Amino acid sequence: MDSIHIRCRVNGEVIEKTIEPHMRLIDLLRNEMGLTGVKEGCGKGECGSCTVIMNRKTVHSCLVLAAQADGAEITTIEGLADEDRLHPLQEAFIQKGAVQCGFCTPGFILSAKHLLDNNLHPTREDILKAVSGNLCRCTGYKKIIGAIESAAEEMNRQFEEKSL
Amino acid sequence: MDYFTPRTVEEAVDILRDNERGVVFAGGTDLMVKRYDAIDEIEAIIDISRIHELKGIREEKCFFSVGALVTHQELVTHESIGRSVRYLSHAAEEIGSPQIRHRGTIGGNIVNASPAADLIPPLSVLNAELVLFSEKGERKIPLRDFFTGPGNSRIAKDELLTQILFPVPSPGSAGCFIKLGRRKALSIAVAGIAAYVETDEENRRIQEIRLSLSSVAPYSLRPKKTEEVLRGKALERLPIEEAVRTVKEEVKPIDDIRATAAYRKEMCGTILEKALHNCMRDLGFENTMSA
Repeated sequence: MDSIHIRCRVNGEVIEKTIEPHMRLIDLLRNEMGLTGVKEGCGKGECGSCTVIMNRKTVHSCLVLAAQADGAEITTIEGLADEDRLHPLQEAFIQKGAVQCGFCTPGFILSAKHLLDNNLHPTREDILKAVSGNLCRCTGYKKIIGAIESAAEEMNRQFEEKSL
Repeated sequence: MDYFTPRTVEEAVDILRDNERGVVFAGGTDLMVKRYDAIDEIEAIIDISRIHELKGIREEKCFFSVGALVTHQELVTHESIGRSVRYLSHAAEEIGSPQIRHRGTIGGNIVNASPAADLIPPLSVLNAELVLFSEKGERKIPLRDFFTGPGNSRIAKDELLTQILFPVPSPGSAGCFIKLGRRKALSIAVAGIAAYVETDEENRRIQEIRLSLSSVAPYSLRPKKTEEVLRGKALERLPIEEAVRTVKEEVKPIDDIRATAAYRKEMCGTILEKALHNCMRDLGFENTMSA
């Protein structure tokens, strides 16, 4: 079997690895890099627990070959908070009770981040569409949607503050 | 496993010629699921995702040329496609999830040849043509002649699907796509329909009608008898009930884990009626009377 050498940036850090061609991105992140915030709920792109942001687009990392991440920029949930502060989405999920078992949470937050990075004034419809690839078995979704709306408000507020 | 990343179509077909059991890999959203238990058993992966000439949507004077690597999300957001063939954008938006749409490609949706594929009905009513390339050169095949069975098509082992072509619809036309599934997203179609209608100059009669149904036959079905029922008829008195009866006779659905044949048959009538009403509304007819 061919071994492949890949180079990519994960959560801001440049990574170089030699991998087998059949390795999935989810395996690279979880097993090779210890980023266990990326969850395998189904392995078939049906639950969204493995969602990461790759080249500024959300993807099911269980469906991406690690080899295809060569040259890519990847963000996992571990890359959201900075040294002292959680991302407004993380704060909102906590404050609004949008986390029960927490398994789906990283995926939801990254899908929401992708939405808010592109649209700071999402309608409820936009939010529902943005997280349509993420399943939750615990919460019933209501508080998750509420948390995303709240995070959008907070991010707008911070953006306006910076602009003053 | 051998792993290749050709940068051009020429390179790709050379590799295909030398690797008969190689698997062409683009977005991976079908392949990774199909081979879930046995990805490592694939002999060779030919990763075409970096071939630039397969990306992009070109609009010529009277036709669109869509590269095989165009993603579903690109079809959703492309301004020209949204303007001229909104039903194609709409079909793309019904696929999977945002995460899947960011990776899945139009080429993959076609070559994977699922009877439930969402892009095939709209492309079919648009009379799309496929461009296939191999060492021997290029050939074109109409989409409606491409499929031979569930998961099977006329693409040769050494061929690559490169472009999908379809004419820009005439301004006096309307189209619609409706997908029925068990969920609003991440759902394989239980039944789907695309309709395309052209009216005559006075906008009084149906001059041309094309229908295509998914998930109710081994591959997408053009219900010709149903089209005949509607072709040439006055818009004010469309024989909708007769069309609904006819389409239910023409489809050949099966029972599977998603739905029964009986349900699918019944739903074909329902979505046909909805699709016709939508088209009529877009053509400016609010109250099409059933004849």
